[in-house]
Amino acid sequence: MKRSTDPVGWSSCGTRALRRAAAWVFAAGCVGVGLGHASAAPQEPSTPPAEPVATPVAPAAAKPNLFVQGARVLTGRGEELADADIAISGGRIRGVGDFQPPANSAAKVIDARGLTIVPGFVDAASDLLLEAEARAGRTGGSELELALSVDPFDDRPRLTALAAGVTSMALARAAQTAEQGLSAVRKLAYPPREAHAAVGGSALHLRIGLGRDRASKERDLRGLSSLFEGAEKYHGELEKYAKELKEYEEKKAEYDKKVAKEREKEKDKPEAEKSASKEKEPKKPREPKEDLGKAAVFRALQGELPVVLHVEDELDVENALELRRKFGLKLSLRGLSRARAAVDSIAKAGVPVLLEIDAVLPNRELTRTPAVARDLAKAFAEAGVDVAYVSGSRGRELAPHLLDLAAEAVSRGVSRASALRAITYGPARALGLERKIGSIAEGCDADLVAYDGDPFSSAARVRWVMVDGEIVYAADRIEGSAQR
Amino acid sequence: MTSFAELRRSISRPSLARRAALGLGSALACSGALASAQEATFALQAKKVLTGTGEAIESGVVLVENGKIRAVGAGLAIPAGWTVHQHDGVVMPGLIDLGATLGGSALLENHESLTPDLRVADGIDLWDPSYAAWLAAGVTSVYVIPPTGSVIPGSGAVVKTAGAPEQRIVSTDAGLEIGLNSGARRRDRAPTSVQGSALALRDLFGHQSPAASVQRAKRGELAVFAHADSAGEVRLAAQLANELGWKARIVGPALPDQALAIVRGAAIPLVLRPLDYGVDERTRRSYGALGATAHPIGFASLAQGGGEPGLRRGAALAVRAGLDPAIAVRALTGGAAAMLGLEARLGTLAPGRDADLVWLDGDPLDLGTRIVAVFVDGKRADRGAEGR
Repeated sequence: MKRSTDPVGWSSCGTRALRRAAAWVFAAGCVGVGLGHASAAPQEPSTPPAEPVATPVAPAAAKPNLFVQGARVLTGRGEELADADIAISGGRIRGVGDFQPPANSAAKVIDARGLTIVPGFVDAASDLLLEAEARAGRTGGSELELALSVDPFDDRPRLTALAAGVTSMALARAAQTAEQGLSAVRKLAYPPREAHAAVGGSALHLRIGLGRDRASKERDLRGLSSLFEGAEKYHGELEKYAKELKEYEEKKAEYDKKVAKEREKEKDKPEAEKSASKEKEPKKPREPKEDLGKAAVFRALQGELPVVLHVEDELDVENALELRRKFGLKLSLRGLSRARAAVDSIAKAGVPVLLEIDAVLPNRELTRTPAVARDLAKAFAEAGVDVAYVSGSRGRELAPHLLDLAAEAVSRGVSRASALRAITYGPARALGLERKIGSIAEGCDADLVAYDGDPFSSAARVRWVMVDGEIVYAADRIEGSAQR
Repeated sequence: MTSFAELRRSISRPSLARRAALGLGSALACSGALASAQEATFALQAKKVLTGTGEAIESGVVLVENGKIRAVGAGLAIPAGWTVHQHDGVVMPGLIDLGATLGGSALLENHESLTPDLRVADGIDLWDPSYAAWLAAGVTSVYVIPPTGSVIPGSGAVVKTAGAPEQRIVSTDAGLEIGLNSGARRRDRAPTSVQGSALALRDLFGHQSPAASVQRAKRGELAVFAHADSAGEVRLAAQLANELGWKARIVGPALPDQALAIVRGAAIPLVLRPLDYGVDERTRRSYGALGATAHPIGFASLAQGGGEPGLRRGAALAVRAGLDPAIAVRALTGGAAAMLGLEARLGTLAPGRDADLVWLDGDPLDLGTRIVAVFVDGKRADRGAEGR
């Protein structure tokens, strides 16, 4: 009844307003539109377009060849669709709404009736994929590429993450040092090919507030300031060197010409009578010593590389925002377990936050936790801050508990929609990848997790996980087999 | 008392009078009287009532009279004049923590390795702030144990988390604590090894010990809570239980499925630490692998002092990993009461039991569920509970 007879299967023929509204939303989906929707999640339009939604013209390459049908879909941006179909091709979502695979086509259909489908969770800071030695420690450096610490042949952490519904992870560590390294986002596809797995989202990870007293915090702040100034200075030296090198090359060319002319003049003289050139040979400028760390920091100062700053309390936040003003950083904050009083200034600055378990469930070790500290996650959600719950640096190979954090946040007063957003669209935005991952919308990667019930219910199980349109984890194939 | 048959009848044929009573109750509930629920008699109407035995009653009613439960069922007749509190959520028995040292290091006595006649009841501070934290997390009874710093640190007491001080101690010695785990051993006094602990216990139980608690444990009158982490310690605990005639419970095995395989057939209940976020995959799966086991299990926070009990979170994470939800609810309530030998008073919603109740806004095993109210002995005891 709801199915279209359209041979291409593209017309959105749902009769209910919700369906049309949904199709309307997704027509303005992930990459389809230009640079428009950077501000907030698109709200479901209150009035659907009067005319039936225009049939999108499907380019041959984008013709869907996979249909996930009949699921309850939570898009990650706050919408909830009952009985929706997801059309997929080339690893991307081509539409969400009411679709029918074309008759006599080779399109594959996955029956998802009774399942709830959510976007693959995005962990915006995790050390799960890193080698054990790289997770913590005392050493670091802004040139340290964390991606090189991932063992592409170790499949265990990848399966652990997929079993928890996580399909993308940003590498992060918690070393006792200011410069944590260069992060990258990995897609948990299989096989874990480099080109396939890297999805961009590089960021420079820094840390302040390691000391708890004001003096050491001040020292941390000065340390970072001088790191940034050093990077600027290094860049200045490089610029100066480039200029000098150019001048040198011009002078050298001139000199070479003159010398050649003199040589030409004295060509016939015997070798012994040849006079030395009166021209002074220009001196080659000295090249500054190469410093990859400072180069990376400078890219961050240019806004090319986002900065994730790991902080603890309000004073750290104050310092972080000061650094942002002074150096124009593209900043997000991570940690924040004791930063309750800074919620408003973070909201005002429009800085995204990555909350670890201590921030979502602050001071759960203490008997008498002030009520005001207990509702940190709620305070951030209500202040309109872009929130991502992250598994963070746990030092061991532990399952990322994003969905559990989201559920716990609900018990602390966060709405379910906000909580789900904080493990899907929120982290994708914090990583600058919201057009690619973190929501179920046209143009986004087909990274989906299917639960056999409400994902927030403890009784719900992951049925399957899809990455880039391929099912990479299926519970019925994993459960019961050798569990390591 | 309302018999089961009467309950069935009342479900199938609610009389006009009963309907009228229900209607009146609903009207009263709208006045928001829950916050001041201190009446001697009242009724709770919830979307779902979990009785603590594994049974769930949809749209159930719990009748409370003078701190005790008078009746539980669907469509029960509510006596005229009773206040009715109505809520969309779930009502269940108060949770039972099967082992926590509330009061912390003040209770530590580990100079000697065998002190069977030490009673933690004598050292309990009912005003310790952790009781309020446990209450806020829906725990209404705690089996308070001495810190596990020796092979026999003494006996534990069952204490309610709220109420009049003189009524809070339910049992002064509900179990004899025995430590076979590494935390029970010290390098500077014997025994320093597992086999040394076994020898000391065989010695004590094999001869005429003057200790009354040892005599009671030998006769099976006093339950023995044997703390054992590793598989080897679990096996030893099971073996000693068999040899020395203990009514044993094995507390805190690191891998529950492994412990279950070791004690299966021996009918020794397992008391598990609640799962938390910091456990490795092997441990997590081990809890999940219990599935729908018929073997009796319970949960003990094994907290040393403050913090949160984490019982409901731990059970929820175990359910996420694969434990059957009904089993988990029973482990938190009725199953735990049975392990303490207090099933006639605690852990289930049945006529005559203490009216220790938790009211939640959803499934107790969903992490997003909040506690709305906690009742101890029929009195609203929490003040804005929201713990775990």
